[in-house]
Amino acid sequence: MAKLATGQLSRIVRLSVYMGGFVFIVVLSLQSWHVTDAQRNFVAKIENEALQKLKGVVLSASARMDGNAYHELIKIAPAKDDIRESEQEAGYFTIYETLRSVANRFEVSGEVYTLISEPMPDGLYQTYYGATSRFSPRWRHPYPLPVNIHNIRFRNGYEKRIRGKNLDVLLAVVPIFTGENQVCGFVGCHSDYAPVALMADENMSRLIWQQVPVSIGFAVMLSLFVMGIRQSVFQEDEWANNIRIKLNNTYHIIEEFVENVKRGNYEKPLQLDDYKDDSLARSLNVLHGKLADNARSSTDRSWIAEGRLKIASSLRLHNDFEAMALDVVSELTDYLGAAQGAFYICDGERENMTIEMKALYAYNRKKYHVQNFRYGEGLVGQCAYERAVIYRTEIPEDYVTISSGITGDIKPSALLLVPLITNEKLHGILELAATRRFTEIEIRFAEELGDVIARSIFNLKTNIRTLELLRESQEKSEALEQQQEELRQNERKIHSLLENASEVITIYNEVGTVIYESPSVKSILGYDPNDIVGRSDFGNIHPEGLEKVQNMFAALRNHPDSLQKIEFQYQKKDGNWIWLESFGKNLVDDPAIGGIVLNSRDITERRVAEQEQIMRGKMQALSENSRDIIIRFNLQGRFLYTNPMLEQYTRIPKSRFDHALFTEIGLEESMVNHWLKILDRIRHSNQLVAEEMPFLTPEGERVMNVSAIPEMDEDGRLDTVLMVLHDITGQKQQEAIIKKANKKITDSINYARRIQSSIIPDNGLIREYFRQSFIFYRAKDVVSGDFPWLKKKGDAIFLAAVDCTGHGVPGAMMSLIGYFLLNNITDMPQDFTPAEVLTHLHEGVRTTLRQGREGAEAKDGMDVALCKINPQTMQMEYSGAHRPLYLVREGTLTQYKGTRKAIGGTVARQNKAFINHTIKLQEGDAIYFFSDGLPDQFGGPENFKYAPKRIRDKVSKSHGTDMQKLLQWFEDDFVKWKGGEKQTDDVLLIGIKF
Amino acid sequence: MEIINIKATDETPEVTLNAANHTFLIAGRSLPEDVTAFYDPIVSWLSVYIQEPNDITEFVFRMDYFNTASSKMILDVILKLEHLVESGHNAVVKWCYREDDEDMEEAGEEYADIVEVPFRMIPIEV
Repeated sequence: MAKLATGQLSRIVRLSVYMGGFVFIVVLSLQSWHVTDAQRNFVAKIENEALQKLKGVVLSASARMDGNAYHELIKIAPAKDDIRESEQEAGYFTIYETLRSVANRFEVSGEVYTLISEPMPDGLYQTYYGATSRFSPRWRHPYPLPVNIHNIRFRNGYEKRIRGKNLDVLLAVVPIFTGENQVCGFVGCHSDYAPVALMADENMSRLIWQQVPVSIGFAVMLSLFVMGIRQSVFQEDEWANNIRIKLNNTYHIIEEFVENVKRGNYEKPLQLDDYKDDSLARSLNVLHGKLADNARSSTDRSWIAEGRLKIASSLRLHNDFEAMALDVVSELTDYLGAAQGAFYICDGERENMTIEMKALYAYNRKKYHVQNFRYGEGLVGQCAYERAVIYRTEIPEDYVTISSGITGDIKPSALLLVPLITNEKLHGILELAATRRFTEIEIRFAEELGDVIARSIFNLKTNIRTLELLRESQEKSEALEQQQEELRQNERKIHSLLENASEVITIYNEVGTVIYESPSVKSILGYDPNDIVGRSDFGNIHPEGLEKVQNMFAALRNHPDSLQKIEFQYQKKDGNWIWLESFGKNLVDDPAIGGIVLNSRDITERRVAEQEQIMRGKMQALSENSRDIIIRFNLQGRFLYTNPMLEQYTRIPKSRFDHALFTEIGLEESMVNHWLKILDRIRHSNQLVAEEMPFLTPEGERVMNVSAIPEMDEDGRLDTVLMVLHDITGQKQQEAIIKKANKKITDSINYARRIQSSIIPDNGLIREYFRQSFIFYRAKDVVSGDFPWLKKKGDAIFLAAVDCTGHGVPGAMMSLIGYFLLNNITDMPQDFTPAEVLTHLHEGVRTTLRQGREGAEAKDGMDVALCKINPQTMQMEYSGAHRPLYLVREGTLTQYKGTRKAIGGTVARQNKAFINHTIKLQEGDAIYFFSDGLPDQFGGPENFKYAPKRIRDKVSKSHGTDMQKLLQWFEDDFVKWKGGEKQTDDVLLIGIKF
Repeated sequence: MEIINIKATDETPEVTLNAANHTFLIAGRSLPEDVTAFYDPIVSWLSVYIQEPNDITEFVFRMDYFNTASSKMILDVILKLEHLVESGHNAVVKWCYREDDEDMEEAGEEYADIVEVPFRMIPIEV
């Protein structure tokens, strides 16, 4: 029955939970007592139970006193607003006083564990404080002093969390024991002075919990009384022997009485004949009576509680009515010691109610007897009607066979029918039969059970209904799954159809964004539907067709019921264009579509065929009106087509050509052979043949440009040949004329060159005077505007590089003027310096070209670099008209700039004089002068001018170089620089080394 | 005023004459077969322009090469600017040349010598 003890303890704990707030449990440790193992185990069990309820709180006994801990305890306690501190203290005091008295009386010492706990939302207890107090007979302190327990888990800030919360009961559990050091019970109390007694029997096997205000006092007083008498007896003097004997008798009577009380035997009151009128004895008897009452009611209550527990655990076990009904009815019948029990389940309301027997239990057996009742029928039906307990003790003879579910093999003395009602609904009926009468307690018990069982029936019904609903919903979802699978298969079918369709179905929303594209787009246009869905694909439409498409969309929007058809070009993913024929339909209002639908198919082949047809027609017209002869023939040389021009040229009627062989018509044989030869070539090469051929006509020979074009059949084999003969006779004649004229001009220019070359000194001539010298001379055209000039006068040699305005023929003509003028001037007897020569030359040109006249065109003239060298004296003079001279002496270059003044021309604002430079030459000196043709030549890596610097750089570094090699270098360098560029101007560079 | 805008070729320079835009430019190579035919419209345009010129006329030459015949025509162009200066207007020639092109540099200097127009010689880094 230790189970019961656990139940009791848990009720203590639960009680405090109901009250909310703190639990204050005192568990007594019996370590210093002489107790049996069974007792020790029992107390240990209570302790453990308490600890388990308090979840994880570790307590260990420690005797160290700590005043602070005590104050903490006191501080926590008054946090409950409605408990005053003094009351709180009084609560402690009561506990400890009790303990102390007990300790004093029994000369035992022990320890009290004190736990202050708060129930948490999760149902556990959080312990904030623990203390232990030692008590002993010698304890004289008016207050219990709690001592600190180490290892207890304190929580930081616990005060804050506790404040404002309701404090709970302070419960003390204190042992009550007898002189034999046997614990007969526990005494507890809580703060509001409602003492609690927890009584245990001598074997510690049964605990009775009682809230009896007087019982503490009673127990304590009883103990004191007994002990006091005993001690007084032992301590009295001899003279009191009589009294002692008397007292001894009394003592034994009282001892017996106490023994009885201790055993829960309240039958015999205290009978002290010697002290009949003693107030204490009377009080004890009054108390005894009350204690007996309490014990009885306590027994009844725990009997009910135990029964409830039993039935409740039976109720929890089952999921179906039959098993539960049988279990409950058998359990109950046994517990009550009844003969039979029946369990009915009610369904429906009032007149429609069915009352079905679910279980019948008799003489410890299950009976297979089923009887059902209607509403109001028999006692059972009446119970359903009245919804109240029916208790009958006068049972008619035939009752059991008529109006009861109870079997007829006994004759019951009492019948108890209990309606099972919860939430005002009748769920079932219990029928119990006994061969004796039911006690009041038993009836109350059965009645109390009614609600519990009814609730279980209701729950079970709910569970069964839930299970049914669950099964239904599972069935439904399976059916749904199957439907979805069918749908999926249909979808796959449609998808496959769409994928392999020869049409693309596109759905656009109203702004032209594609919202659906059928999978066939992949095979027809090469796009993945995802490439296109979500955007506009108008970018793929050929610009020429875009307007058509846009017009169609507009038309579909304006006339939603119309069907539109267009053809346009569309670019496939691979970049190729195809023709699409699209039917458009406005299905914006169709909720399944919600857009404009285009069904498009590839009509490229048809379009190409149509185009070809058109083209062929156009070609035919072109051909018929062509001025060229156009014929088509097959590989046998048979005419398939001839245009009118053939008739016109040959004077042979067109009809004769039709399907005739070349050889059958009477065409000139050489012509026929030529054509056959062309046919032969095409058959071998499959390639176009283009050439000229003579064409004999009655009017005479013409020249034709023949283009013979191979035409292939569908398999790429040569099928026919199309030949176009274009008359180029006139063109040929023109060419001949131009050629002739050109030749004349070229001839005359070439002649002119001969004249020019004859007067121009060449490298041979200059080397007669200067062994180390060269003339780099390259005309832009056949004749040149630049020319070198050389003349010996006396010891001196005049040498010039002349650059006349322009080049080619006009330049050459200017050069002749310059040539003769220079000769004339130097032929004069005076010994002119170069500057003087240039001055005369200037005047001469102006005179010759009559540039002095008003409004004369006077752009023409020349730039000149002129030297006068005396090889004997190594004296040199130089003058330049716009031209410089370079002197290289021992690798150093000196530039003599020319005067900024040209020869000839009208514009001579500042009438400058030509500057005459005199240079004393040294052995090894080299001079270079040139026209602007070389420095102005474009080319090189940047396509820029050759530039004087390039000349300077080269000649400065060519100190020891042979002049012929230098000439060669310039010639090569010039060609290289020029590259693909045109020659800018005539080039002339003269170099002399002394 | 009309705008002259001639693209450069191998033988003729780029020409832009745009009074409204204050752009007066001749740039590139000048060696046309017929210089008169090329330059006459330019000179005629300037003859009209100087009747009603802008406050400031900045004429830019950026020549790589010109032949002797072209040089005379370029002088005619610059002489039109001289007229502007003489009639009290503001005109300047910006003569640009590749910094390593001594011929063009010299040619610019020569023009500057001859005419009464302010010249700004501007070498261009290559």
